[in-house]
Amino acid sequence: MIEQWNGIYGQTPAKNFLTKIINSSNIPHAFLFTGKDGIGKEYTAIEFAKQINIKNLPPDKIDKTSSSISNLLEPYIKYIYPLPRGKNETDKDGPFAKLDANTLEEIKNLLKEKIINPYYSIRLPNTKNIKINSIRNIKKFISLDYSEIPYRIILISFAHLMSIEAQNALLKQLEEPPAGTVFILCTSSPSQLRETIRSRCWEVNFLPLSIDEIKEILKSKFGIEKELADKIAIFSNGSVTEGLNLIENNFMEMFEDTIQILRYSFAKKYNSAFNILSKYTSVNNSTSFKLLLKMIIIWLNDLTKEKYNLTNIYFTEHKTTLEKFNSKFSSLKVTPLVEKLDQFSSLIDKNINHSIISMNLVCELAAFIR
Amino acid sequence: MEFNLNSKELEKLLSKVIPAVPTRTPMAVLENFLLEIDEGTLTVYSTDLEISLRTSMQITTEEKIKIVVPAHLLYDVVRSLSETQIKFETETDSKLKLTTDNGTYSLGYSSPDEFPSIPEVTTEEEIIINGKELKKAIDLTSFAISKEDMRPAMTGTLFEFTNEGINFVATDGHRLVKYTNKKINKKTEEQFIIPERAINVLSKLLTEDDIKTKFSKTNVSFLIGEVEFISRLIAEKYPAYKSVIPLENENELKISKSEILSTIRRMSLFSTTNTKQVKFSISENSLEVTAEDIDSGSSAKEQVKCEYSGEPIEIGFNTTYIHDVLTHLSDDEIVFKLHSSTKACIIEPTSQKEDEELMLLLMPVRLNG
Repeated sequence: MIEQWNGIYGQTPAKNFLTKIINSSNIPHAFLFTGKDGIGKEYTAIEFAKQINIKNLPPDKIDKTSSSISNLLEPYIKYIYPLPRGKNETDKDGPFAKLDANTLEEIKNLLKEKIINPYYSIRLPNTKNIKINSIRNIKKFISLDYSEIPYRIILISFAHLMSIEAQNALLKQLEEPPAGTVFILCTSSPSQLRETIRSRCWEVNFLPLSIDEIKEILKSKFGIEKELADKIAIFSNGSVTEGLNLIENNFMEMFEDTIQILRYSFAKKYNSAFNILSKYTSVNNSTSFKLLLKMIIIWLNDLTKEKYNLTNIYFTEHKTTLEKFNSKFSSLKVTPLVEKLDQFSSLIDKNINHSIISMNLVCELAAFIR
Repeated sequence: MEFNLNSKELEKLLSKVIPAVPTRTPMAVLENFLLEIDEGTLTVYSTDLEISLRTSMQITTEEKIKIVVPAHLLYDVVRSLSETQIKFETETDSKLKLTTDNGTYSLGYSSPDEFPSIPEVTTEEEIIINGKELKKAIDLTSFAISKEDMRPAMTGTLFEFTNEGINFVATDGHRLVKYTNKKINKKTEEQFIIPERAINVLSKLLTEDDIKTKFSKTNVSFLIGEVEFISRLIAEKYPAYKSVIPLENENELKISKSEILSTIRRMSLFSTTNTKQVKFSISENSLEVTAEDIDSGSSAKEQVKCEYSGEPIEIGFNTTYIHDVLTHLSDDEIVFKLHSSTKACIIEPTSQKEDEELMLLLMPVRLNG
């Protein structure tokens, strides 16, 4: 295995596959890296970009090229990510031409983070799309003559956030890229990409990371304390991004609140349960409320797992509670309740009043052990 | 490191390289100058990856150093100083200290490792082009460069070396300009496309002096006095423009440029906003120019003096394009060479200058009704 892959955790099948491609010297012109967010797709793409270049460069140029790719510098690598629209921006402007100074500064800071830690993902607030301007700009990027660089990489992050127009614009360029251009599209939702785009790319699937890998990444790359990292890793579903999301939303407190809400609801102490929930329903951002619902669902799933003596329980500290609960209420069916909670979660996206959802939630939980 | 410089001399030096510093880029390293001091020469580099600039001056120091400093901050502070001596010192904490009689200014600097390499054009063949002549060629052609990114080859000016000199060609599909200068020659027949941004910056740097030009496969270098301007070339094949130039345009309409231009300006007020159409009805020694805005019901008609002996023709043009083409002709006596209402029209000065040839081509628009 190539030494460069050493910094990348897990992903052995993808790394093996890419190693074969590097060794074959027959580099396809487009890849589609699929898998959850926060598992190292872009990191792998950056290292892959280095490898295919290093193999074809004279020794004196290797260091500079390698560090330029690590620093996400053009013309070696064109890094495309969702950007906000600037004031009076038209589709003909360059992607950064009309952005204000503050936004540009923010982008620079995010890029700095990304360069230091390739697991970091660049998401600007209120930015939902990859602009068509960014895609059109690729054409200009590849038209300039850089034949001294063996492979120039176009790395598209969150590729599924391209609009249909942007995808069509990209399609044209995917059809006939000049020699030495490699497109790498990274996405967690390949189904949102047009079939015509997918069929032009070599798909490389990336797997969720193991709990130990997540722990290690959180500690070494994001400086998260061991105790928190250990706990978060279990709930991260194999994704660094999900883990970080939990930390941002005050995971430790949410963990305790989940237990409290369940306790109060099962004991039919509606008011106390509702009081705790109000912390999550009063804030504008629905992420924390959704995460809380997810935690409750995880607890309910743990209940089933404990019943059948499965070991991969998330709420390990509360194993005895789960045991007691199961022995006391052995005939309860968890699935219908989980389905209801899933529905509540989707209702949050549909702008239903959070208080109404939380009231229903408490009632459903209370009714569970009728 | 320590050396002294006159503020005005430094301002002049930096003003030559600042045009290549991009103002809106996510790549922070490009917002810097690379300063290199070696053997008593201070060299300043800037680049936006597409174009690069380099210039140098002699200073008295024996040290050797290479640092990257914030371009706009340095340029703005030097520019705002009145004429004075500036003492430059590098301090241990990555700070560049500028000291004048009245104050000190401290700028953070960083290592040059991340600064992109400035391409070098090492080709031996050097083509000497007079600055004034190159400026003329750029002024005559650059307006027709396409703004459409989807056809990258047309987003630059073609420098086409032939046995009979050099052709400067620009087109956006609606109009085409070809300017030939027979005095500039290269050993081999070759084509190079220089991007629009490079053309714009180059045009501002040109003086009346001769310029040493070198072309490599990927770059072009222009040495203008102390300044070296390097641009990436567009790696595309230029469209076969010669095939759109009609050969059978036998009907010649001779006309005064100033008169027709003034007519066009008035007609543009009356033409429909989206089509911008103006109609030329040409018959023997008569030209009637009409425009009509159907939406507002306004219309205009003018007779323009001309010489014409061919078949009667009715042909439509876009007022913006014809206006652009006419304003770029310096001679007053011009000729429209026509074939039919659907074929491209060639506009040329009646008499070409020695060693030069200018041809502008304009596509007609389909007439309403």
